[in-house]
Amino acid sequence: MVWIRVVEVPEAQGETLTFYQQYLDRLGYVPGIMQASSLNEPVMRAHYDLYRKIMYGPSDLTRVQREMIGLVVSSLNECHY
Amino acid sequence: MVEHGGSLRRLHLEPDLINALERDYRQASLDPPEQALLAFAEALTRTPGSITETDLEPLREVGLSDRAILDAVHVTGYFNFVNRVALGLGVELDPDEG
Repeated sequence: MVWIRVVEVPEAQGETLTFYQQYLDRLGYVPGIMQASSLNEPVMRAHYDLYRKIMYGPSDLTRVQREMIGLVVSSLNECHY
Repeated sequence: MVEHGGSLRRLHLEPDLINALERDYRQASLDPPEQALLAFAEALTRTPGSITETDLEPLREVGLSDRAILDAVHVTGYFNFVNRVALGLGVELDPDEG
């Protein structure tokens, strides 16, 4: 359970609901790492956009190389998310 | 990071390799570009103030382009950002991970 308030799915409206819906349609839930930022909806969406572009956009690194970096950095930061 | 272990499994990486990367990437059997990228990502994560242009040389030596180096910096910076969001707020794993 995240330590600050988040916008829960039943109370989501407008842009937040639109944002949540893409996850709900695909996964059936909203990933915690996105929902955690829901009190700042523009940043929540900008984060998602940045993530998609950096990790899935055209790159001179392969998907595997990019994900390997993510795994190692997260281990170094002791982040198990 | 279990969640991105999931991404690597979906990219068909061997579980042994994923575990090795989580424990100590230096012990994993990796090609030179991957070794160089991960060493750079570690240095930029642990001691960012110590990075100099010399640290880019191993990346160039394994044939990485300026665009690849940029992308590596962006990925490293992004994960340092998102890790702090997760750690700073106590974000827990999602139902299908872990």
